[in-house]
Amino acid sequence: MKKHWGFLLLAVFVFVFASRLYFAFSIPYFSSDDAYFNLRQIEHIRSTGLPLFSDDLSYSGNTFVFSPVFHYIIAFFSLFMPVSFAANIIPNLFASCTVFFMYLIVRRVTKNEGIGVFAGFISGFVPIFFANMNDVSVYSLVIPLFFLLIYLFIRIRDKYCFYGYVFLLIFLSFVHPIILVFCLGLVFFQILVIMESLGRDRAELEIILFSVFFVVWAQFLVYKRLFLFHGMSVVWQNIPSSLLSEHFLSISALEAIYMVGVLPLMYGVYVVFRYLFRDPRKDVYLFISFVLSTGLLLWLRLIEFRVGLIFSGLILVLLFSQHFKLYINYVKQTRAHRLLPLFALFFVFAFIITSVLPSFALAKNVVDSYITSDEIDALVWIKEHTPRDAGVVASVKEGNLIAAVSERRNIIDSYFFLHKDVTLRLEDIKKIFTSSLEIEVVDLMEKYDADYIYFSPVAIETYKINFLPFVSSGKCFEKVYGNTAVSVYHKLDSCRLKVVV
Amino acid sequence: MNVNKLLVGLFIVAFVLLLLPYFFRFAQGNTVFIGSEPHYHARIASFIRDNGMPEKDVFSDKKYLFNPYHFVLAGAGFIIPIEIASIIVPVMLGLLSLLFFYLVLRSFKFNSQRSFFILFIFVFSPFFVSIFSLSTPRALALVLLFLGFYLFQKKSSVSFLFSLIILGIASLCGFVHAVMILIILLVYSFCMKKRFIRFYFAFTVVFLVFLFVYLPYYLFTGGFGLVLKSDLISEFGAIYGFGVFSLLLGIFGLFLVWIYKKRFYAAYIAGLCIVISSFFVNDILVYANIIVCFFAGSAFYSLYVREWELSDLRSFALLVIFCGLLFSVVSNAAVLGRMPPKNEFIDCLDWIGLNTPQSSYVFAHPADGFFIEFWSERPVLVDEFKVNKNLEDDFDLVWNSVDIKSTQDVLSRYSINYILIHEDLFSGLVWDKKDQGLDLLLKNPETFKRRYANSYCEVWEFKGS
Repeated sequence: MKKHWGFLLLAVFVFVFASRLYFAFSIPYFSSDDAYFNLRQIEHIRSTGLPLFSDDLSYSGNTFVFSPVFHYIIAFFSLFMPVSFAANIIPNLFASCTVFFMYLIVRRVTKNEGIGVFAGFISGFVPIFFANMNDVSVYSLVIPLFFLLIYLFIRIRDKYCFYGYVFLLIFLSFVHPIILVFCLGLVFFQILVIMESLGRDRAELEIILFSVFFVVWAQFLVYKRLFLFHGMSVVWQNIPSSLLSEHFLSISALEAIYMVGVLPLMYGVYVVFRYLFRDPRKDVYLFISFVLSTGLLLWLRLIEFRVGLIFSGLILVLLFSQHFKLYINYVKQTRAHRLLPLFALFFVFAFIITSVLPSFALAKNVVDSYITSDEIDALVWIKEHTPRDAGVVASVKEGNLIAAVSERRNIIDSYFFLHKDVTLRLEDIKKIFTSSLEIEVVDLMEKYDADYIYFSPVAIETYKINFLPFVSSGKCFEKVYGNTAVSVYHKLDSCRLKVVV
Repeated sequence: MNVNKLLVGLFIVAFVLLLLPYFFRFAQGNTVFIGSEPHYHARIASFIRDNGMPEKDVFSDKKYLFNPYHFVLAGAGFIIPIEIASIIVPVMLGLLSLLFFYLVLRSFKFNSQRSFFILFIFVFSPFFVSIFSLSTPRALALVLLFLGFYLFQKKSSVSFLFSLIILGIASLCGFVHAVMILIILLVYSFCMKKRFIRFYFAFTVVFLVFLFVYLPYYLFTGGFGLVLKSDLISEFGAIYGFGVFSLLLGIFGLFLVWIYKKRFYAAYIAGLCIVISSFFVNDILVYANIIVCFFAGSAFYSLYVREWELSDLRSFALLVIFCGLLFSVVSNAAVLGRMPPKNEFIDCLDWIGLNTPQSSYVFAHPADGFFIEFWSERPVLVDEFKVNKNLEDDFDLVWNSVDIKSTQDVLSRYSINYILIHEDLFSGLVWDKKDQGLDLLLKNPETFKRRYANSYCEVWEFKGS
């Protein structure tokens, strides 16, 4: 590796990391409800050494089945700094490392260090990936390692890469089930290789077989309880259908293109078509297989839309770099070869406009829109002024906030596993927010043993309401807290429903 | 690799695996034999032992559908109690099936190593443990199929004659089994391009069984007896489903033997049809599983004998596959071990049997019907055999209504005397928590009276409207 490329790569990494940290620290809170679930787990590990598998606050009593590896890693770093710092810095550090792994893959495939550095730069600014800088997500660890695994797979005949691959595969299998996307991609790759008669490589087949069996086995070991509880429907993660549709419908096609990055998408798709139909090439087929596997899972709604876009965006960067190589080779053959730096610069500028700026804009939007200080004030008020065993009704997007910040029982949150009545709960919560009948709301709140209603901008947006109509009589509900954004209502103890048999 | 020693070892392992569900069960202090359907067969076998072959089912008034398994169980019931026979007989049949399956594989001229690997996958399949731990006719059907098929292929005419008798008995184990026997023999004759005349004989025997057993029964009842209900994947809780690892290996195995497609195309097409139809007719799962075992065993054998390019990976990969198979089978055994009924439930049922009049009707969940009929010897209106849409609608109303009047009406209309409630009803089977529907109404002392209760179940008397 030439020295200047090394420095440039390091500079790219520092720039990506610094940009992510700038946005992450621009607000004192985290930007998603799930972040607060992860934060609770990290804090619990830090204080007790164990994850919170059995929780009294989530769903007013819930059992979590998940892999706590990521939480342990952050908890370890939180020994040297405050938890909120560790939860911001470490995931962003991991995510920024994607730059290196992308560089390695692209350098290997294109045999061009400059293109590798450029691909690293692009991967750091895939808008939807960049905008996740503040949500303490396990994907910040999984995604870079996913690409490192691809790199090690490409070099599987190298002894050290082979051992690295096996070790990393085992590690990732126990970190997150998204590793199944990798296995599916490998299976697609093998099918494409067979279909195009590109010469079967025994070593590849062996490692693919091993990977598939190991990953499937690991998932059954870790999530056996969920498989038995939900059966086949576990693949949809027990997410209520209304919420699932909402995830997919809330982003339009144009927005999706914007979030993935226009240039990588455009040229990535071109490369897919070119190599799939005209110019079969094994290493490019590997990337195409991952696009196909992610696309299939997105189509079947088996992975979260946002996560699917992140994977697609990053894999398209790999495909784009292949196009970039073709482009450079083409320019070299023309009379304009002396203008090559200018053409390359044009690409960099185009990329800055279509990916870097959208990344910043999206990140700004994320930090601005999720949670305000008014909401935090209300949540803290609940923590300080309500009984410890109080139950709080909030929208599903705020369930973890209620548990983490207010430290009170919620009725529903984003962990949908191990509940057969998730859809019913979701409907009941909707009824509580939208009903005009006081008696119905009292009945539902008694059903879930809830005492307070947290009425926030998120609830207003989710349920398309401006106020709670049933509180106007004042017989059963009183407003106990209010600021410009949030109101908290208390169900009076005197108001009870009695069933006469 | 000394295959003979390994085969002996495999028989021992198979024996242990077949007892595994009961190990888990006994470890939890539960000593009752597993499953709802086995209780139905145990009741009929018990009747046959005491009174001979029944004309009709005493509790359902339905015509009795002859099944040789009941006679095997009744025969064992002369030596040991039916409850114990329901545990031992399937295990014995499991070991016999292993032996006969091995003979079938050897008769196909597979080398001993390949045969061992196919048997290995067979033993480590969740469905093997399910079929030969639960006391159902499927266990007998499979054993007879293997034995009958083995004799069918032999050159000797005496063997062939025996095979006709055995396959005839196997086809009496159930309508689906009879159809599958025909398909298997047809495909075999077609692929081997010989012994069609033998197939015609076998066809005649099975056709006679259709004509004299299933057709009259269908005309009387409109059905073909008990039909298996199961999901597809064992790791997702399906009792007779495919193990994920067997399935993955099976798919790989299919690719490996794809080169023989021209020679065995009939077998390939039939195999594919069987696997696909098992998605819709769950009884076929047993046969689809055997096909998967065959391919998976071939794949495992091929992975074992091939020279690996990544030699460091070989042992680890084989170990992972073994662990995956072991995980599937142990996990399924644990699920089987947790299946109903529990000892406390039997206490409730015994109380009903001892303290209520012979003619009392018990209102219970359909899944409890066979238990009540066996242990309490009392009739129920709905069990897994007696499915009636109108009854189901009325009973849904009773479970879920909080209107005492309508509940009283339905219970009186069906002359219900007792109601059986247990903990599992509150964990999603009927309700998701206490004090809902009928459970709430039971607090009305003028209509209901609790007669017996323990930590798991309660028996309530319905006093009438």
